[in-house]
Amino acid sequence: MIRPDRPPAGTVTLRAWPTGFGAAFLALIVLTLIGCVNYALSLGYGLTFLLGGVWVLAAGQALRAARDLTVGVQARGPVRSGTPLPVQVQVRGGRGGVLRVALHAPFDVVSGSVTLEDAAGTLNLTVPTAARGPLEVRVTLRALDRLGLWQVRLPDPAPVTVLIHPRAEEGAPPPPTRSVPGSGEGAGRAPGDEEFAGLRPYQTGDSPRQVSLRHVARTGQLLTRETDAAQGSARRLDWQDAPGDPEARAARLTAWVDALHARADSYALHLPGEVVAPGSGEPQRQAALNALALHDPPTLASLAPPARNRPGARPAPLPGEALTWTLLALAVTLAPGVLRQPWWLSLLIAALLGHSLLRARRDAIRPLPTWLLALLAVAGGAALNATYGTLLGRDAGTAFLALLAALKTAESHARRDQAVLTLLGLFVTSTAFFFSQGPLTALYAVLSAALLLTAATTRLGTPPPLTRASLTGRLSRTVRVLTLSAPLTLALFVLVPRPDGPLWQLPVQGQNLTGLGSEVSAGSFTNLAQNPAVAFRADFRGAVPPPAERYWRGPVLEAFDGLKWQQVRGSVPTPSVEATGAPLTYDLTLEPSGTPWLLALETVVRVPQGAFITSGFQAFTPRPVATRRRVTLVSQPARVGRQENGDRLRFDTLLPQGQNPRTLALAQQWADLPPARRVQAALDHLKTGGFTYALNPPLLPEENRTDAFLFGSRQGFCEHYASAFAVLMRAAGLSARVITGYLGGELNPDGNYLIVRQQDAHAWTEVWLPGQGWVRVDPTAVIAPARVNADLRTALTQPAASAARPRSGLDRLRLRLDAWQNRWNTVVVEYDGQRQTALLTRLGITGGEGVLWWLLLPALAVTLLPAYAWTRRAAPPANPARRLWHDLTRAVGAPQHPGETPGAYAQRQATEHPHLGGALREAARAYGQARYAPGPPDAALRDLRAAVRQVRSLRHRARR
Amino acid sequence: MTAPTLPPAQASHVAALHAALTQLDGVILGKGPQIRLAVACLLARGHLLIEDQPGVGKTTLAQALARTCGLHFRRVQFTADLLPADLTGVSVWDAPSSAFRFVEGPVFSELLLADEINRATPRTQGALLEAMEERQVSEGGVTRPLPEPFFVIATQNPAAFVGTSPLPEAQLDRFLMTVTLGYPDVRAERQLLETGGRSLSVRELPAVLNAGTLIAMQAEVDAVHVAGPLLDYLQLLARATREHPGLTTGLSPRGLLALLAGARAWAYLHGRGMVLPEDVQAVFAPLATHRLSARAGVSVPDVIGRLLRETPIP
Repeated sequence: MIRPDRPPAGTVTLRAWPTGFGAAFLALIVLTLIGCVNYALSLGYGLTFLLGGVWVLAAGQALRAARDLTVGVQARGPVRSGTPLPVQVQVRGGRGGVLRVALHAPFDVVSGSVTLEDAAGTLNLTVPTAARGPLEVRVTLRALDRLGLWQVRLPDPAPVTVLIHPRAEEGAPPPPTRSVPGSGEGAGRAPGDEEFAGLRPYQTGDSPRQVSLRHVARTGQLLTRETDAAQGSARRLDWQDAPGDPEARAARLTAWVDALHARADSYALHLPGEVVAPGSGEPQRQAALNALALHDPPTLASLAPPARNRPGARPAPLPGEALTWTLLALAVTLAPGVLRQPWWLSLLIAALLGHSLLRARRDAIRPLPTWLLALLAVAGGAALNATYGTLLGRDAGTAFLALLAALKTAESHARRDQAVLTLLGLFVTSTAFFFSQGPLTALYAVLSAALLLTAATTRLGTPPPLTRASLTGRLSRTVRVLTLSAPLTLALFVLVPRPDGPLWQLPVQGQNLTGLGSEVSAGSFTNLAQNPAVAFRADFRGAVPPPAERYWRGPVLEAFDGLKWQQVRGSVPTPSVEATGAPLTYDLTLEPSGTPWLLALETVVRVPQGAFITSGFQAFTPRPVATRRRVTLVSQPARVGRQENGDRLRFDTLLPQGQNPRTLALAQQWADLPPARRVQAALDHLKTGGFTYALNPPLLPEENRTDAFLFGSRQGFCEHYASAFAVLMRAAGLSARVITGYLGGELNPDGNYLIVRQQDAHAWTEVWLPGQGWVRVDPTAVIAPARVNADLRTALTQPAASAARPRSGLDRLRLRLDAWQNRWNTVVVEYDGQRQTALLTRLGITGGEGVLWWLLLPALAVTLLPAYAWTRRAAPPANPARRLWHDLTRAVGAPQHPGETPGAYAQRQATEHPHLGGALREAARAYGQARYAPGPPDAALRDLRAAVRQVRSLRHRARR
Repeated sequence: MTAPTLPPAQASHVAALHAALTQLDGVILGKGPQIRLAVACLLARGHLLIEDQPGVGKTTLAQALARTCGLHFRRVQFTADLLPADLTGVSVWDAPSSAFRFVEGPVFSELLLADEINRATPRTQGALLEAMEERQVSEGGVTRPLPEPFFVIATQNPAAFVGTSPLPEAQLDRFLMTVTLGYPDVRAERQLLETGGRSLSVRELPAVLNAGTLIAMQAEVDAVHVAGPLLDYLQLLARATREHPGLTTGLSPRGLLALLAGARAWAYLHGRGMVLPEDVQAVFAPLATHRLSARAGVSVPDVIGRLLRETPIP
C-alpha cells in the first residue's frame, strides 16, 4: 500500500505561505518596528531586522525542504472499528526543515511532523476509526522550515483506502451450534458436494441443480437433494441469526468469528447475497471479516460526527522536552530583569519557571490551577501598581510583561502555547533596549533571541531531550541562520527610512537621572562633583577648542532670593549677536538627563530642527532628553547683547531687600568706578581676600548667606563664587546673572572628542557692560585657575596648576574603552534619519526617502544572495579523511557522484586530467586506507594530505 | 590499490589464487568478471547460479573451476523425472553383509554442477537446495555430512523456456550469487573457433589449488576487515532496496549477510585485507538481483544500477 509521490520536477510550482505562527511572527516584527520608530530605539531596529531576516530566510528553507521529497504512506490495516489505524509515513530526500503530514479521515484530522534531518525519516500516526467499511484517508503534505514560519503545500499523494472490520460485540452469546442444514451425520459433516446425504422438501432459494428431477417426474413433488462433504465441524454463521440493526449484527457475527477462530473451528458465513465458503484459520477469518466489513456498510451521512472529534478541535499536546527548551530560553531572556524589577517579582518568576520545569520533567507534577494563576496575575499587577504607581510606562510595563510570560509558562499545555511563549520572549528581548543600548545589551539580546528561536525549532517533530550536544547542535544551526540574515539585517538597518519623532510619548519615570538642576543654591554642585558619569560627549568637525573656551552653557539663572538662583520665564526680544570668530560645528551625544537642555558651547548660533535658542542664548529642545540623543550644533565666538532689553537689564540688578548688608557696603565702595573697573575690583577682592576652593565648604546660615561667605568662611565651590560675585556686581549697580553648565571636558585622543562628565558641572557669571554686552566672568578661575586650565581634581589639590596631571596607563585604557563606546553610540545607537541621509550623501546618493525605497529592493536582493548560496552549499564532512577527500574534489574542480567510489572517481578524473593520475590514485588508496582499514589512520591521513597538496599544486600549475 | 602487507601465508594464497584465475582465463575466454565472481562465491562458501541459455560455456566453467581448484567434480543433468534419491543417494540391500548399504549420490562431491536445475520437479529441487543449505544429507535416519568444501554451481534456463518449473524465491536465496555468462565477445569467439574443441583442454587442466588450500582461504576471507563506515554503506544499500517504490521485496538480513561475505571474498580475491566500497559495488548486482522482486514494468537490474549510483558512500 505504499503510494509513492515524487513531485515531478518542473511541472509543479511550489509556493510558500506563512503558517499561523509565521503570521504571528510577522505581526511581532511589525509591532516591535512601530515601537522602535516611536522610541527611536536604534538597536531595536537592528533586532527587528534580524528577526525579519530570519523570517525571509525561513521561506527559502521551506522551499528547499519541499524539493525532491519522496513520501510513502502506508496504512497497517485492516483494523477493527474503534481501534486506531496505524499509518506509517516514510520520507526520503528532504534537505532540512520539517514535513507536516495531515491525515484526513471523514470526521478526523490527524497530523504530525517529521524533521528532515537525515536522508530519511519515518512518522507513525494513528487515525481513529469510527465505522466498518472502506475508510479513505486523504493525505496532505506541507513542508515547513525548521521554525515553522512558512509552509509549502506539496501535491497530495493518492488517498489510502483501508478496510475497517466491524468491532466484535463484547459479551456476545456463544456462536450457534447449528451446522450446515441436513449434514445428518452431525458435527463431522459440512455442506459440500461430495456425497448424497438425503432428500428434503424444496425451499425457496435452493439451487435448481439440486432439485431431484427423478422424484419430480415420479411424484410431481419438488424435492431437493442434499449433499455434503466430510469437512469436519463446519458451523454455519448466518446474518439472520444475529439480532438488531446491521451494526449490531456485524458486531455479533464478528464476535462469533473470533470465538470460532480461537477454537480453530471451521465455519461458513452466510450473508444476504454473499457466502463465505467453510474454512478455518487466519485466511478464513480475514475473508469473513472482509465480507462483514463490506456488507451494507453504514453511509457517512448516517454517522453523526462526534462533537469532540471536530477537525482541529484537539490542540496537539506540548511534550515536556519542548517545554524544557523554551523554559531555558525564557529564563535567559528574563534574567536581566532581576537587575531592575522588585526582588519579590524575580522570586515569583523564578518559582513559576521552576515549577514549569518540574512539570515538564515529571508527569506526576500537576499544573497549577487556573484560578491560582489568575490570582497571581491580579495580585502581581496590583503589587506592581503599588510599587511604580502605574502599570504603564517602561519599568512597570516590562516588569508586568515578565510576570505574564512566567505565568504563561505555567499554563502551557499545547504546542500552540510554545509558539506564544516564543513570541512573548522575543518581545521581552526587544524591550531590553529601553534600558540600555550598549554593546553588551545587544549581544545579550542576540543570544536570547538565538536561544528562543532554537527552542522554537522543537515545536515541530519529535523534540530531542535538552542535552549539551543537542543544544549546541541546534543552536549552531540557529546561529548559522542568524549569520546568513546578517547582511540583510545590515542593509535594512542602513537603508530603511527612519521617521523622526515619536508616534506617542513614553512616560519616563523612576529614572534617577543626575545632572544639572534648574536652580542653584549653595551645595548644589557638591554631589555632581563626585559623579564621574558621562554627561555628554562632543565630537568636533574641526579642531577642539582650548580648555579655557570649553564653557558648555546650560540654564541661565537671573532671579535671586537670597538663597537660590532660578530661571526666569518671560518673553523678551532676542538681544543682538555679533560674531567675532569662526563658526565651530560639533556633535553632542547627550546621555539621558530628563531635561530639555542642549549643552552648547558659547555662543550657539545654529541648533537642529525643532530645537531653539532662548533669549539667554541657551539651546533648548522641546523634547526632554530621555534616551541617549545625538545633536549637531554650531557655535561661534560672539559679542552678545550689546542691544539688550532694558527690562531685563533692570531685573538683573535686583537683590533681595535687607539682606547681606556687608556685601552691599563693600560693593557700594566701587559704585563710582567705570563698569569694567568695578568687575576688576571685585575679582581683586576675591583674589586677595584669602578665599580657597573647596569641595565641601562649611554650611552657611540662611540669613545673610553671602555675607557669611564673603566675610566668614571664605571657602567655597564654583556656585558659591558665582553667586557671591553676581551679588557683588548687582550691588555695584551692574546687571549680572549666574550661568550654569559644564566647564572643560577630557579630550580623548582615541577619536578626538571631548568627554564631559557630571563632575565637570560648573557655574559662572555674566556681567553686562555697556558697549560690550554680556561678558563672561568666571570668579572660580581667580581662586583656582586649574579648574579652567586642567580639571576639577587638579583644581582641588593644586589650585594654581596650569595643566592636568599626565594620564596613567589605566586612564588611557579607560579612554580607549570610552572611545569604543562612543563609536558604538555614534555608528549604531544614534543611527537615525539624519545620519542616514548624511551617509547616503557621502556615498553620492541624494533624493530623499523615495530613492531610499528604490535602493532598498536591489540591496535586499543582493544581501540575500550569500544566504542563498550558503544554504545550497553542503557543509564539509566532519571525518578528517572525508574532509580531505572533499578538499581534493574541490581542488580537482569536479564533483563526485553520490554512489561513486573514490577509486572510480580517481579513475574518471585521471582519464580527464592525465597529469593528475598518479596523485589521484595515491589519494584514493590513502583514503581507502584511512577510512576502511583497521588500526589508526594517522599514516594514511598523512599520505592523503600529501596527495591532496600535490593535486592542488598540479592544478595550480596547470592553470597558469 | 593493494593492502599494505598481507601475512606471508596469506600472500602465497593470493598468489596461487591469481595463478588459478590466469589459468581459467585461458580456458574460458573473455569471461573474466564471471570467473572472478564464481571464485569469490567459492571463497565465501556460497553457491552459484548461472542463468543463461545452453551453449555459452556454463559446463566448461564448472569443469575448469573444479579441475583448477583440484576439487572432486560431478555433474547432474536435471530432468523432469529426476528423483531426490537420484541426487542424494540411496540405501540398497547388500546381500553378503545382510545390511543396507548407502550408495552415495552425486551430491557427495566437492563441486557439483546441477545442470538446468529448473527442469526438475520442485521436490528434487528442494532436496538439492536443502543439501546446499544444511551441507548434509539425511537418509534412512542417518545424517551424512557432505564433503568440505562443498560448492554447487547450478545452471538455469531463462524462465520462458519450455518445460521449466521456476525456483521459488525462498530457495533462490540459497544461492549466494547469480551470474549471466552471455555470448562471448567477437575476439574471444574468434579465438574459440580457431582453437576448436575446448573440452579437450579442460580435461587436461592441471590443479593449481587443492581442497585444503581452499578451506584455509575461506577462513582467511572471514578475517577480512570491515570498517564501520562500510557497514553503514551496506545498511544504506539495504534500506534503499527496502524503501524503493519500484521494489516489492527488499534485501533481507540474510541477504545483507551474504553481501558482507561476498564483499569480503571479492576484497580477498584482490589481495586486500579490508573491504572497500568498490568490493560491495562489484558483488552487489550478482548478489541482489535474484533476492529482489520488482513491480510490473520495473526492471530489477535497472533499479540496482540506480541504487548504486545514488546511494551515498559513507
